[in-house]
This record gives sequence, C-alpha cells and structure tokens, in this order.
Amino acid sequence: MSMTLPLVRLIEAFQKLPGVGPKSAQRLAFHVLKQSSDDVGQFAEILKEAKAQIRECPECFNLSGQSPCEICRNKSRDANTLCVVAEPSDIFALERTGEFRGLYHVLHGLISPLHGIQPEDLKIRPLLARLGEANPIREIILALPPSIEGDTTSLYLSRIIQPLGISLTRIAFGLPVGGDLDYADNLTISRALAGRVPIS
Amino acid sequence: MVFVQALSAQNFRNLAPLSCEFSPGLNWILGDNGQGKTNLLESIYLLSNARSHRAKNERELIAHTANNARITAQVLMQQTGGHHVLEMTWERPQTENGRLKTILKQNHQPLKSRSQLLGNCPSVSFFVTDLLLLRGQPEDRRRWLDAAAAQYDRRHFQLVSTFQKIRLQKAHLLREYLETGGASQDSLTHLAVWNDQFAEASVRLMQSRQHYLALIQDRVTCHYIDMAPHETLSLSYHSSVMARVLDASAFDEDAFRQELDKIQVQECRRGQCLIGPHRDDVQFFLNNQDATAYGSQGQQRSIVLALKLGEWDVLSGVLCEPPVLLLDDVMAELDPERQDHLIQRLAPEAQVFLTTTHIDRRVQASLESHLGEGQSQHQKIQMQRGQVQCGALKLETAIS
Ligand SMILES: [Zn+2]
Repeated sequence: MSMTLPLVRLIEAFQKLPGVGPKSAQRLAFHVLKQSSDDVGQFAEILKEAKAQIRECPECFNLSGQSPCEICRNKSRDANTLCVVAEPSDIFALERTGEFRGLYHVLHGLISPLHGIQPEDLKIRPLLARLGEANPIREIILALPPSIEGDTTSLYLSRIIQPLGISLTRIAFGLPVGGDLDYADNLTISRALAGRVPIS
Repeated sequence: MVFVQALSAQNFRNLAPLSCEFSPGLNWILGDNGQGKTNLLESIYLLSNARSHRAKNERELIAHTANNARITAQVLMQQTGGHHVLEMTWERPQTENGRLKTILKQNHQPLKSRSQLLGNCPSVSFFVTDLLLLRGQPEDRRRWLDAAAAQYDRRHFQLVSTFQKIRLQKAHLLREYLETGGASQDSLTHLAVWNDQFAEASVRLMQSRQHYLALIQDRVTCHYIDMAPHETLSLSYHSSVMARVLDASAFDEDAFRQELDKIQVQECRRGQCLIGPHRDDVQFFLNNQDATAYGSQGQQRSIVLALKLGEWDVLSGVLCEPPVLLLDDVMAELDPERQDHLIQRLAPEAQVFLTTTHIDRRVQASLESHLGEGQSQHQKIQMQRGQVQCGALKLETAIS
C-alpha cells in the first residue's frame, strides 16, 4: 500500500520530534486529520507565534516572550543569589518547587568535546559579565546534572568563578544519576536545594 | 548455586528463535564449528557481564535480517533466594549514523545502567582465546581483569565505564587541539578540568584493579603450585603512571595529577591520552622471571588455568555459592592432567555450560562423576545451523 504524499510528510514531521517513534507519529497524524480545520489552523498559529515571539532573555538566557524575561524583571526576587542551570527546561522544574527566590542563568548545554561543545559555546562569557564590578551577586548555586559532563562543567565554572570571591555551592545530591532536573519531583529538588554544599 | 534455568533468544546473531531449559548440573552444547554453540554461550555471558567478550560493535548481535534482537533468561540464586528474569534488547538505529539502543531489564523493570545488571547471574568464563592471554596484548589482559573484577564487585564496572567516558572526552579535546593548531590559555583551563576528572577516575580504577589482583593472588598461586610444585607464580599490576613516580609508596591522586601536568605538552602535540589505566598491564612472574616473555606454552596455559580457578574461588567465596561456569571449546585444548585439575576443583553442585565439537569419553566420565547427582542432572544440547535440539539426543550420535 502506498500512502498519499501529504500524509507521509505529516508523519515524517511528527517523527522528527523527540521521543516520537513511527507508530506514535502515525497516530498523531491521523488524529490531526480528524480535527476540524479551525482547530488545526489554531494549533499551527500557536506554533508559529511561539516560535516568533519567544526569544532568549538577554540577561539570563531563559526563553521568554518578554525581554528581559518575567523572572529577571520581577523586583521581588533575590538579586543576590544566582542559580546556574544547563537548559531553560531546568528553570521550569526549579520554579515548580517555589523554593528558590533568586535569579537564574542558563548555559544552554554542558561541556562535551565529544559533541564538539567547548566552554566558549556555552553562555559562560555572559555569566562572567554578570559577575563584573558592582554586581549584587553573593552566592552562585550550580544546579547541573550529576553526569560526567555536568561535573566537568561545574568544575570548570568553579575554577573561573572562585578567584572572584563569590560563594559557590552545588546541588550535590538527591537528584537521580543521569536524570534531568526536569524529571525530578518537587520534593527531591527542595531537598537538593536545602542540602547544597560549598565547592572547595 | 547460581542456576540459569531457561534461556530464550530472538534474532540473536545466527541463532534461530530459541527457548530452552537447562540442567542445574552439566550442560553439553554440541555441534560442528559455525553452528551457533559460541553464540549460545555468549548470550549467557552477556546477561552475566552486561557486555560481550568478543563483539567489537553490538550491532553484530542483531541478525542481518532483523531490526532488533532480544535475549531473556531466568536465573535462580539459591543462596540469596534471588529469582531473576534478565533481559537484554538491542534496537538497530533507523539511520546509518544513529545510535544502537540497548535496553536492560530485570524482572521486567528497565535498568538505568549496565552495571545494575551485574551480580544477577554471576559467572566465570573460560574461552579458548583466554589461553592466549599471556601471549596477547595488554588490552586483552586489561579486559580480562576488568571483567573478572566486575563479577566480583559491580562497582568496578561503573569505575571502568566512568573512566572510559572521561578518556573519550579528553581524547576528543586533545585531537581538537591537534587539528586547530594548539591550545589557547582559555582552553588549557578546559583541559585542566578534564585532567582533574581523569586523575580521579584513573586512581579509583587502578586501586580497584590492584585490589582485585591482591584478592586472587593467593588462590592463583596455590592452584599453580598444585600443577607445578617447584614454581611460584606471582601477579603484579603494571601502571604506566606509577612507573613514572619515583616514590611509589607516595602514589596518590595528586601525584597522578602532577604527572598529567608534566606530560601535557606532549599530549597536546600528539593529540592523545598518553598515560593512564588504559595503558596499564598485568604481569606474571614465575620464580620472579617474567612468564609473558620467558614462560613455555605449557607454563602459560597452566597460569591461565590457575587464574580462572582463582577467579572461581574468590567469586564463590563472596557469593557463598558457586557461580555459573562457561567453558568454550577449552577442554580440547588442555592435556588430560590439566583437564582433571580443572574438573576436580569445581564445586560438585555447580552449573556448567560446555561447548565442544565432540564429546571426549574421558572428560565426560570425569565431569559426570564429579558434577551433579547422576546422569539425570546432565543435558545435551545439539546445535545445527543456529537451531537447538534439547535433551533427546542419543549419546552414540554425539561421539565422533
Ligand atoms: Zn531573564
């Protein structure tokens, strides 16, 4: 049996999404075709708008429709504490707990020469710029995954931040090895935040 | 005892879909060369070791015509009362450059890492290629040591895999320097961080390797003396880094780290990790003379046999029950004296898998009188073109 070309293309498009295999892609494609034209049109609009409006925040590199982002422009947040994460989705996970009241900095990745990712490919230079003279930051929490690449990135950051005399801590336990912050439950993250340890 | 009760395989190498039950005693796996005997043994080895002893790339494990392969075994560990269903699945990537997906399960629950599979089906394996261990490359001896140490303590597996990941990252960085014409000051901080990680992982791996060698040393020496009363066998871990440190007793992570600094310029120039446990070796001495260089073929075979028995003793000791023994074609390569030496030192209640092209009557009599409670405990599995015929084999047809 040969499928009509527009359907093949739709299935292929779904299959490019992470975690979507051939079977799910088919299911999603047929689901879309069952929906009304209005619903499909609206969905397409939402996708386009999100892509067009959401940008990296110039301060923290979180993703937001505003510039600076909602967190950076919130005056009630503690500007003395900065939490460094690998991906914007990690901010989502930390915000869900409501425990952390400081600001964030997103690296957009972890050091991994194997994948061609060097420190200069991450948002490390902008981080150092935030730590420049007259900055209010007193503590930096490194909330990077407990993997080899996460450890290496933490070690790298501590090597370059330590000379600046800013207190540096790391979320050191409670998160599953190899797991992302995204999947850790609220309680685990709260415990990790409470149990953060200074990097010597 | 550790008892592999049943095994099934789908699309695993050249094996036809199979599902068979095993005897708790002796299991003969018979057939001509190329019929799938070693593949059957390899499947048990995989569930025990979480890695193949011979596949360079795990894609080899999937039959050419299939997209995925699966092996499943039921394993009973009598002493701990553990009853496990272990499963490994490999899925071929959809694109040429995609990654092979390996899924491990214990009692139908997915495992997060390979090391978690270890310890659920402890085994000692003896392959024909092991007989060449002393003649072979340092890499072969490291592979033997790491596999044996991981059977004893699954944390060793984790140490090996952490070290390998860090080495791969550092090697990529060094190669990048080589290709882009050297490292800037900024990128040297980057290398320094990898060296910190490298030193920590290396020292932990080296200590674990030395610890395991020290554990089996006495048992190995005893087994060797049994075979050759006038020769003393000793094992020693040869480290490429410790050899560079003048005071070996002061060797630690800091000393290792300093050596990495000293060799940094050369490493950048060559684009390779020049020192570390990936360059280390195990040395064997007979009466203080290097047995790798000077030992006769007979002496070297006895050393390997003593090693395997030492592994067996130490693993049995920590488990409080005998592990599974996998013997691949190895009996035919040993002389009667060494055959008997091996057989007599196995626990009578052990489960043994033994592949061979033909049953040697003498070995059979010796094995069957030593293992199990009688003929009913033994099973013959005939393999032909990847197909298995369990049990109902007449003895006469098996003897050539
Ligand atoms: Zn922001």
